[in-house]
Amino acid sequence: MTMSEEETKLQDLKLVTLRNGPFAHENFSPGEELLNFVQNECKVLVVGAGGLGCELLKDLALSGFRNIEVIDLDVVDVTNLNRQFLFRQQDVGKPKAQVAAAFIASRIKDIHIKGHYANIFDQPREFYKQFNLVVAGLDSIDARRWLNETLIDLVETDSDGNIDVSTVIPLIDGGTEGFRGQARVIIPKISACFECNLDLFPPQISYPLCTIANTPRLPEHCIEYASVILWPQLQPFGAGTKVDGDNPEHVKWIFERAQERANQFHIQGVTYRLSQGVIKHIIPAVASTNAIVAASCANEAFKLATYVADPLNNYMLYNGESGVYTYAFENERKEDCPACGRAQAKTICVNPKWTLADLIEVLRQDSELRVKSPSLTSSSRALYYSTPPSLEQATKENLTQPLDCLLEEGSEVFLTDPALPLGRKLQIFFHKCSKKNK
Amino acid sequence: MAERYDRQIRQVDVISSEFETTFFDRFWGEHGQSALKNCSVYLLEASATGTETLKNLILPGVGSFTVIDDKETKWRDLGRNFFVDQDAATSHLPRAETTRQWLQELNDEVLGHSLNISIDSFLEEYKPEDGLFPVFVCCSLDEQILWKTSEFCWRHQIPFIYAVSCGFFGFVRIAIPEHCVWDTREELVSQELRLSEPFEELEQYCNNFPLESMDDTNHSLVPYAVILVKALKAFKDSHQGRRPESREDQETIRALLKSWMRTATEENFVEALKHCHFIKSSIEPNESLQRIFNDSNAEVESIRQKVYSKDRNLEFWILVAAVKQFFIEEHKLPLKGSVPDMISDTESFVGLQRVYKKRAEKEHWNVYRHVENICKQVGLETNFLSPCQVFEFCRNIRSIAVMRYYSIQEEMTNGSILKDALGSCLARNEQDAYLYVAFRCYLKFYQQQGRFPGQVMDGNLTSPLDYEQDYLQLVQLAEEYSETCDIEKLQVYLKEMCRCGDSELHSIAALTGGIAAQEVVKIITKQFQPLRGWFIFNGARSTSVTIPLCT
Repeated sequence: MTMSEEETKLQDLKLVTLRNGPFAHENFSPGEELLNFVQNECKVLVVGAGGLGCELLKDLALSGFRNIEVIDLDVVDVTNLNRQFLFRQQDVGKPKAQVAAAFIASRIKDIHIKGHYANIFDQPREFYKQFNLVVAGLDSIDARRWLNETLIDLVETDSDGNIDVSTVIPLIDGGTEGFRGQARVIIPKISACFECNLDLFPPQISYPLCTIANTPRLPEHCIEYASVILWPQLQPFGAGTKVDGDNPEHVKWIFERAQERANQFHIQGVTYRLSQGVIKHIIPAVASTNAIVAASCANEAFKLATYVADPLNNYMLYNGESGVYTYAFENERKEDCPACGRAQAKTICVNPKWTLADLIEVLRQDSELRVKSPSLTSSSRALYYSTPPSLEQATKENLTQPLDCLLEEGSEVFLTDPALPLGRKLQIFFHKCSKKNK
Repeated sequence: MAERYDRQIRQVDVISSEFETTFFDRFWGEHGQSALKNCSVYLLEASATGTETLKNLILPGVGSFTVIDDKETKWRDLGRNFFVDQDAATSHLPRAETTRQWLQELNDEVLGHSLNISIDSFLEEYKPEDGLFPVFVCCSLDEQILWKTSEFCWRHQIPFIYAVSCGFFGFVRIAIPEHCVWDTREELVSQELRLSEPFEELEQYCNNFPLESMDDTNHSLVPYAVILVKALKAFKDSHQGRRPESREDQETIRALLKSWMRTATEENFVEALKHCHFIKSSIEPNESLQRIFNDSNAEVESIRQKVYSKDRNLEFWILVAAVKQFFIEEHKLPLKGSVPDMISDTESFVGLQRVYKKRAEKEHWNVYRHVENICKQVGLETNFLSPCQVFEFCRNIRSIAVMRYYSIQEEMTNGSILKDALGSCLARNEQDAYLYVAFRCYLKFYQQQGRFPGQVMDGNLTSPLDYEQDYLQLVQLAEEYSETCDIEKLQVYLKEMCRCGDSELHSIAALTGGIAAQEVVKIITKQFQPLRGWFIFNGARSTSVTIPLCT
């Protein structure tokens, strides 16, 4: 069969899918149907249309994937233009997912690509269920945990506990910071999941409050003072308005207050740029690292879809600061992982005289749970619902109740939180000397 | 429009976990950004790897770029290269201009050119642009072109980056006679504070802290630097002025620090204990800096030569010579002048910062005077370098580096260089080093036959699906390397290269182009340490190797 000139477009992909080789996966069986699957059957969801997302869309499209959807809740900002190459000056303010999808469709003719200007948390299970692969380029830990658990939740098992592999949707996850990054492949319920190694991502660093309030030394301390202490006190933009790092008026207000404080303490280096960086926890981002990590994720997607070579098992680190260094290794699955393992109740020790509000605070501070607005139910009753407002109203009065009036020693409590689709089982034990973490 | 570049210039302070030191993560800063702006990138051959490299340089804002390519846009390009379009393929438009146009669109602050000529004629016609710093990125799989362009760059002191991908494998190589890094970004706080030999002003400042008579609150806010200076003094007083040297001495100091603590958890003292080894840290330059000081390039005579030959590292070597002079006179390196964050009340910390800053300025001015002297001696204006440049250099003196690469010519003709480099990788069981040899055989195959092993000719995909013949020929070519590596282990790599034929998979091209661009940025900004030779990515295994070809 000789290809027409137009068909040579696919020649590269055909070569590697029609030929066997020493690096192919043991289940690889070369043939036309592989590329056919990639092109016509395999549906890929790209989560995030930012630095990684733009690259991913291009890489996947040119790897033969023709059914792609992308979801992102952001609009284009001018500071995206140094790396998010599907956006132009005139796109500033428009939804990223839609602009990115339209750009790819204009360059690559035979593709079906759809952009969703939406929050991933708001999509139903059925939305995720339709995909064969999910590739994520996110900067938020919360979103990644949520996505991870959602895909785990979709895995079905028979009565003997055997996994129905047709319900397993692999998750490929990339992340970057400056010249560093990582790519990983998660096969839900089969290989290590995001939650298994949550400790790889240390909780966000914040400065000790006493330093900020009493002994500032760095310009960052002054900025934190303005945004964490002064802002709630003075409510400069009306009661209840939260600091918005993208609102220049907000940043300016904080910058000016921070400068006043810095002058008072003879501290140098408070700038507008630094203020915004501290408020938004901005991390440096460059085009090349995004390109490298996204390409590696797309390469893994192609390998997973075709078995032309062994997919990454299961984590690759990248560091380009001194020379160029990569390291691939296998992250171990945690047997008792609260997301993908055998769910065991997490033990929480409390003082029986604490109130329910105290318990919730302890849970919010827990470095393993990392929840922001938990709701709690016991086997017999609803203890507290953080949302919706009507249920919050109805359960609010429990907050001030001592725990021994609400619960028995050793009783199980179920925790739900927007960040954790699977929820968590807790077992509450009473200890008089239990302490709250600071 | 500077806002566009915010995320890459941005200086963000990252205070990492307590197990790591505090560091300043200034990305490449305003300095680096203006270096990028003054740079002109030449892409030799508009492959997917090549256009991806350019994309990652145009986005962050290089000054200009030029695509040199004499082929026409083909349908095959549409399947691998994002910066071409169907119309160009249908109308057989020149690939140089097509890719230039779609790349240009990424950033209108960057000037794009295209030349629809062969690389050979380009090299004949090339004239450096005024005021712009050139970098060549070569993406040709033709060994002769690799040889010729790298030789050209070597002769003209133009940084040369080679970036190609075939099948699942990506290759990047840097070749520069001498690359000087002004700031590797490695921090050595232990030496920067000079606590093993406190200067006079620091000792005086520490007298403001009478530890014994302070109330508990103030006592718990004395910066650890001050505590350590006091501990050192106390040690010397009780040991006939001797400096702490042994492990035992350090234990003595630790015990002393513990005896000063009011409570077992006094945080500033906990910090002092943690940094106790600073008292012993050397104020001498480390081995790599020592080597730079002793380099013949740092001699006045050699600098004079550089003035004459307009050497691109002239400024660097003048500054090295000046700091070296300072070191000969003072027996120490100039202070960095900054103080890392530590537990303290504001006033003590700001006071400490001032002491360090003032002393550092004094020392940096001394270095500046050496710079003036050297400039005079070699016939330059005394203000050839500004005080600002000198100060910046002094601040980073502990993190400078000099890299000298082997040329492609040396690599290809001197078997022992290659044998050593590969041997070091294979000794560490870095199997991907075999890919280097496989790639050299692949290039040679093309040189001899005008096609790549496993390549499908004329779009005919039926018969040549069996690549056994090509493979056997490739194995024969590999005989040449039987002294260098184990041919049996090499075979799987040769086979996989045949399987992929002349394919350029987009993801591998994008990854390789990402790495090539990152290295160009490092070279232009003279920040971070570039790759030391070849980088090879094995996308079939998601592993990689670096083959060092650099001294």
